[in-house]
Amino acid sequence: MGTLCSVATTCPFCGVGCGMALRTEGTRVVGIEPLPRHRISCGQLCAKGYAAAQGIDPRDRVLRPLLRQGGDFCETSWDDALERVSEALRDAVAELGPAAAGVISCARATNEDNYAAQKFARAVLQTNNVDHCARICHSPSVAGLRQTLGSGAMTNSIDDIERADLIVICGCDPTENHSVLGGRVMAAKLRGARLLVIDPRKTRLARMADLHLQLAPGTNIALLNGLLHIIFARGWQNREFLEARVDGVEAVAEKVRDYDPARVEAITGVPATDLERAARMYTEAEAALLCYGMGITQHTTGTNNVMAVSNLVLAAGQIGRPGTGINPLRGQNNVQGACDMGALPNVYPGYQPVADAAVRAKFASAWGREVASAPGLTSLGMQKAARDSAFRAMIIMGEDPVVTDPDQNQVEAALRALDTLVVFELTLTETAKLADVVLPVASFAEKDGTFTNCERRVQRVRAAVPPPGEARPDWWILGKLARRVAGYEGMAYDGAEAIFDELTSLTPSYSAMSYPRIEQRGGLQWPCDAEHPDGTPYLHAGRFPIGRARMVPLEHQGPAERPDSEYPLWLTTQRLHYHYGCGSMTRKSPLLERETPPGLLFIHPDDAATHGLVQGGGVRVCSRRGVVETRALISDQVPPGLVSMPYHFKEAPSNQLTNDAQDPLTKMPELKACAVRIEALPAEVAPRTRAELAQEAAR
Amino acid sequence: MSDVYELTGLRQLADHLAREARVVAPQHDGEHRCFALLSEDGDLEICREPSQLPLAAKPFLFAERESLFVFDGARFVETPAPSEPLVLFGLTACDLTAIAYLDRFFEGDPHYVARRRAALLVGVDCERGCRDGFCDAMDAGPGVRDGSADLVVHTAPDASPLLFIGSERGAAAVAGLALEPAPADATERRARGLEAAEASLGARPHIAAGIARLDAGEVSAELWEELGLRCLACSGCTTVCPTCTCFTTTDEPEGDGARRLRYWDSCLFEGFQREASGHHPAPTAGMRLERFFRHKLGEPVRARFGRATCVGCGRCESACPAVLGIHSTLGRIAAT
Repeated sequence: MGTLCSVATTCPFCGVGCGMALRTEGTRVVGIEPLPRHRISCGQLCAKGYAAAQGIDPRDRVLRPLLRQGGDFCETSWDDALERVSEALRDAVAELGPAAAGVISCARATNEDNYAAQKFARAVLQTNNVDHCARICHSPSVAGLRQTLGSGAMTNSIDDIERADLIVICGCDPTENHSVLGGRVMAAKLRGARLLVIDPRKTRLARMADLHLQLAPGTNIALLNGLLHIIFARGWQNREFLEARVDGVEAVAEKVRDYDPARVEAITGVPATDLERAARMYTEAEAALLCYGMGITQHTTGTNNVMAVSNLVLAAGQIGRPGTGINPLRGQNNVQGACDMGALPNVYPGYQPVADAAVRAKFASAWGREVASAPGLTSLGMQKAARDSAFRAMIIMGEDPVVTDPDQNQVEAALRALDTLVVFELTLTETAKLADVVLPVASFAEKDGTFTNCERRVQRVRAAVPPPGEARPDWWILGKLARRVAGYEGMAYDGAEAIFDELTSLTPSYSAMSYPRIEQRGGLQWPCDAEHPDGTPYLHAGRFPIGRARMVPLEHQGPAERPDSEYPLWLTTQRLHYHYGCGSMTRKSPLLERETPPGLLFIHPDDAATHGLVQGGGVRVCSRRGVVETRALISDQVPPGLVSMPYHFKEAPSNQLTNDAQDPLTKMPELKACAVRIEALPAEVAPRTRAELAQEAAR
Repeated sequence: MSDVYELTGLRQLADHLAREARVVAPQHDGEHRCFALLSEDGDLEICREPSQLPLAAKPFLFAERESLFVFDGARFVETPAPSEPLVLFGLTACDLTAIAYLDRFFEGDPHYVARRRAALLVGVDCERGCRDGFCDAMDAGPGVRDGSADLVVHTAPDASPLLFIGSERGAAAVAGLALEPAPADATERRARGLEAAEASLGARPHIAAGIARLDAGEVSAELWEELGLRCLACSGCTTVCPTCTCFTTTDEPEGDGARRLRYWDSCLFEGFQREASGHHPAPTAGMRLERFFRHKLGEPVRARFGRATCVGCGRCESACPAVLGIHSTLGRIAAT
């Protein structure tokens, strides 16, 4: 061991989980270096990763607890801030019961922070009101795949991309959002693997693909049923696999009889011949690895969409082997971990159901405290309850729902309706600006812990510098609050490792993990237990957790809102390689910030011509819910009739426009399809920001 | 300089140099290696695989984030770079050739010059070729080039390391060290060792063939666009390239004024060359990629600096998620 001024850790952006080292000078992180021996990233990073030092720079950070005073914040001591927060939480619960308070945990925080968040909600506040942004990314994956396979995570590993002879990219854009993984797909394609892309947008991978099925927005089930129709009609299904391991095959075969290629072409816009080619490619492949993303989940039919993908994978038997599988690409660095840790209203750590009295008893006994038994609310459920005056106090840990959740005006109304909003944050995000108390937290570079990447690999996060000012880890704050709110000492941890050791003792799929073992093995993939002490690179080898997998008959159902004469265009949403989520970290990099204007509307040249738009020109976009002004990026990335916006920019938030119509099972909002109309701004007029438009409306 | 000595070990030299200056050498912490301050009990393990030391010692001369000056509301005050003596220990020939290029590129840059003047360069010859290296083709290795280091260490299996004095400054740095004169055949031994190292590099015909096609203007715009489609503009290649020098500046508010900082930048970013009017001299990803490769290998740059700015370390091959490193790209160019 030398005296390194460079500390190896895990990248804080996206679910790939690349390795990086933080180069430090004094108490500041000044640079990032890739880790050539890291088993996932092998010396590579994306633009966000290389810019991570700026993302957490002390400049602009919240350094001391802040209290709202009228329209401003003033600094206060931890003692005062914690006392005020405790009082507010106690008051809310005393007045309306435990259902009136809740915690929005954080997919960017560590497993230790997320474990502490759900423990705080369940044991201290006595409520299951705990949720996080998986609600709006992969809650349908967790719900859908648990029904069909028994586990909602990526079945295979990132390494398996190299073992596949066909890669299917369905409703995701990995070279932008999971860039190092996207690079693996490009490398595999260059080495001779075939590539099939299913996406309404002509993404980078779609341009390289052997076949691109450019379906109309919100027609996933029709397309997937159409592929199954062809597979069953031609007898291309994997009979041996289906007989041995899958139930419900007949009902699905029967259902998809209605989805003949001509009908599916009419619904999806994908030529019948391409459907046939795709069905053949997928069933003929020795090993086909399928990845999917928000294009599948962010719909009112999100859970059914996931199950439709699962039906296809099962029918072809492309699962349970190296180089295959159904692989939901998780968007945030630790969204897998936040789900695993039970930062969800219906499950404890390790997906142990809240509804199961034995599970509740297990945790109550381990924690030495009664736990909540009533079902909890989702994040959007808490927001709705707040608007209905049934919910009073909310803690938000490092998420920015004002920018990232659908229908921004409704989100703001909900947060303003709360008696108390407490936000744990690095910087004053749009959400933090609405808070009554802002508590300064340590960034990933300033604390120890673990992140779980999209392939279920738990990796170490290491402190390279001390937190600036008086910032503290989230779990430290929750421990202090537990003592003040309820006199509960069971969260007074002396470090992240103590939390990890507690959570592994209660989470069966993490039970054989420890910090030393994670370090020795270069991360461990769950399930990691007595039976699989070195982890599990791919799931479902011999059997499914539910025994036999299930195929589920599904019916196509279009998006909740469709273009009409008033709002004639489809709007979908996307991400950009340069930015992450609400942009609160990536937009601090002068290099990333320079790459794009603060907001973009992707539009096809034909539609641009119809509306008199020029490249980079101002454009006003209106939906039934709101209006934004932004700049046009004219590109054939989108087909005529579809426009697309990234959601990273608070100046031009796509969530002014999006629809919060929800998937009935998971409450996933339909972020991927709604109806808008657009008009060009006059040539000399610059787009107004969201704040400017709001001021104008107020006048 | 022709003095040659025999060392009992590398630690003997490093410990001596550490008496007068901070020594920065390759260090490792588990799987992670980097150039870092050498502590008294730190392992000294020379790493001659550039891809395993992605940033080499570049940040110690051209800092990834550096304060240039402060405006305090009334006056501009320069913030000089640190000038305490520093030893960069264990640099390979390719990285030393890169520093020789940086010396020319940054000769008028006070921050680089201050750091560089403070630095003593200790090179190590390579015993064999490395996975992606092609330093021989770029006249940058595997032996340390004359004049590129103050001290050069030559190692061979089963023999004591040889120390060659490369400059007067190097001679002064070891003046107080009791050194054994090297055997008479030391220079010959080094020559034989380097010959073997060069032979082990193997033929890389696509490098010369690719450069020839680049110079002849035989690479079509279509091919550049096909390659450019893959480029993510991650900035990996320019971050790990030991001769990439692009930077940007920002002014951060501070007190009543501001501080000007410079950061490493990348010419692969779309925004790097975009002009205020919106005009862009390389508007497509393919054109930016072409510009990068011409700048590393092309004839005009060779004419200006007397050599290619690529030193054949091969780091870009590992760092690129899009398979656009120098081998992949020149291989593709040579094959069309």
